[in-house]
Amino acid sequence: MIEQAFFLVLAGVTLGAALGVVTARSVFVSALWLVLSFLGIAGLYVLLDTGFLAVIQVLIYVGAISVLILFAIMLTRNIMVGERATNNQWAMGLALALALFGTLAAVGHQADWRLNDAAVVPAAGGLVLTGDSLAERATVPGALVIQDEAGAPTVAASGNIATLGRAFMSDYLLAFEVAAVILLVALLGAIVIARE
Amino acid sequence: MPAVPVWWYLIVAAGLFCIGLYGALTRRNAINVLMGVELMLNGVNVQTVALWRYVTPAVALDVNGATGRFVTAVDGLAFAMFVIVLAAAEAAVGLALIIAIYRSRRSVRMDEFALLHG
Amino acid sequence: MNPQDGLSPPAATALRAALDQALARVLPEQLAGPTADVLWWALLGTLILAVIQVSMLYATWLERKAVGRIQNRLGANRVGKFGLLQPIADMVKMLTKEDITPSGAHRWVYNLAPILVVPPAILVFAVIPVGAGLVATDLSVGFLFFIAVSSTVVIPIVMAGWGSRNKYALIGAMRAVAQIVSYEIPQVLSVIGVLLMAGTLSTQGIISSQGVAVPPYGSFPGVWFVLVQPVAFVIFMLATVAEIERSPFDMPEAESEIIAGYHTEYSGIKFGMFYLSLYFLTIAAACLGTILFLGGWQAPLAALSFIPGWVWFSGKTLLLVLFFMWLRGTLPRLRVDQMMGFCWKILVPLALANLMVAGLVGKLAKQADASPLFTLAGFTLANLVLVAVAVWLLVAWRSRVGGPAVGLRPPTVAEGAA
Repeated sequence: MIEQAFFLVLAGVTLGAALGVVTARSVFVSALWLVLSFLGIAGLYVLLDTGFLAVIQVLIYVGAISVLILFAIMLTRNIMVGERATNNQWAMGLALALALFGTLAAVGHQADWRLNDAAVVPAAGGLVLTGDSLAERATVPGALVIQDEAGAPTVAASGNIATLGRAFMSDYLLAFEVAAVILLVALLGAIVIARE
Repeated sequence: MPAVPVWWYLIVAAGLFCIGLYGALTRRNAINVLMGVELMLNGVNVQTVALWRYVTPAVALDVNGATGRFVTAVDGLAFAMFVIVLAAAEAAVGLALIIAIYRSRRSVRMDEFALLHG
Repeated sequence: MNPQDGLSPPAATALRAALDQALARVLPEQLAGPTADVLWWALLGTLILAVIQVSMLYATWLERKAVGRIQNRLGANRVGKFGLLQPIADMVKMLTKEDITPSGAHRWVYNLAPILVVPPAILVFAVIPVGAGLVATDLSVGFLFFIAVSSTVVIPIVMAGWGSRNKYALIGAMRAVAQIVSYEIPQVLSVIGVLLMAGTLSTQGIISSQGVAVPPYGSFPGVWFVLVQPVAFVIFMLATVAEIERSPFDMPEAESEIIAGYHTEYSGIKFGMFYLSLYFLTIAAACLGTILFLGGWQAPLAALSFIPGWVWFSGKTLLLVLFFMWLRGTLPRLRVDQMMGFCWKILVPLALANLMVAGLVGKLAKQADASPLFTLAGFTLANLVLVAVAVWLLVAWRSRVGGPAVGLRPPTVAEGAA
């Protein structure tokens, strides 16, 4: 019940701030509302037991992307003060957004998502491993080795971060490397485009 | 199962996506449009992570007998992280473009960037 | 301090048990548990706040005394014996000053900025362990939490700069943000080498890997990381000084210049909030350096472990804080282009080189199951290579980092005579 209360507060903050982004008159104020909605989303990630993603969200979205947006706002001094902030298509845009929201909400509520009853909160906050030997599991960094009743060491859980790291280096290696190249290209591109 | 039903998260994600869509379609300042796009990306992320969390069983790792490879089950999380990375890259390039356009045309109004208009 | 993890001091466990029992008698079953949790965390939060507030106040006193002595004067000594009541006097002064809001300032943004700059500086103390069980919450991503939360302080700085409707405040804010965002990179890169060896992002885990193992974390390599990666320590210290915007990196703040950067338009308690958060961050940065490189609350030798952990932690943190103050008193302020050049052209390549070397040597050591002594020898060799690289970087690129200002060279004899 506490969890539901937290969820309602966080969802309210997130959606309220998102509304603030699209309705604020000054572009700087909408950037600040955007920061608040990012923080709300980070809170939702914490509720979803992915604390790592929450911290990454704060670090990258609030600490870097928001700063980038604020810099761009300050470098393109708003000479649109006093004008209307929305263009001529606002009625159609509103209708489209409402229709899409209705559809997505209906689907989300009524679809059979084949939820898994075994998706319970893992004991020590990480994924529980089965099917591999203790020797292999114990070498995973972040693995919690505890003693069971007989006194023998056993791995209780392996943190999400360790599993994620191993996944990046094995299953998703190509995507990881391509993402690195994309970041490099974006960095160089941004420097070249924005230079005087 | 966790106390919060999954469709609550899906409604929040849909709300974020649609608010972002409205912002991207109807705002005049190019930077506001970019903020709408960021909201949309975040909505997608929330939906991905929520569904991954509720659908993926906790007992996840399994040694693939033939090759001895680990089949990991952090796919939802990895997907979300790649989306964050790409959003960062896209925001950087997009804002650089906006700054370059501002320098040459002294304006950030989307209505005025209509050179290619028919 | 979770009483269920078996590591808290007995006093804390007993107090929590008493609280649970008292509430179970008064409230129904459903509410007693969560209420006990909330009250416990409120108590803990108040305790942490009280401790860091007092530390922060006396850090300001220490700064005035230490910098004064470096500058061959006594420092503040009028208010109370040795000036010990000076921080109280400062606070009273700030609280009683006139609260001015510039007429063109955006009211909400201008007033929210000093309020929002303090919570990140306090929140980072949640993951700082002061003793064996004495950490508010041992997050598995503790270090990353610290970095993420301390990087959110840029938003209130931008708000302060923009909300003041003052050109100089805006320029100061942009410089401050550029500095903070740039120096995060060598700060985090230099620490990744340490994290590779510790194998965990948790602050308690990092401390455990530098000495006696704290369950459930291991203790590889069992030596303080400052001995294993001194280059990383130096990079981290320099980058952190720039992150918290202390001299010699305080160009955006520039106390001795006419325009005070992003807090130009703030006076009284609003300025006090910026001042407060600066000192909170200083202490937090010193705590982080202690945790990452100096072994946290662990004693250097097993024989000395009868001295409680928090004494060791406080002593080491005090050492680092005094190091920060020493830098402030001795080095001249860096110019903006020198500061950015130093970050991107010296610290980032050096941090990357350190990461490669640390990763390589650490992985080889772990794979070969080397003893700590052998690991240490391997790292010493690698560090010598790194120091050579650092010296080469500083020497070869010193002109590119930002030499003397163009056009200000002293006139030659011929020009002077003409």
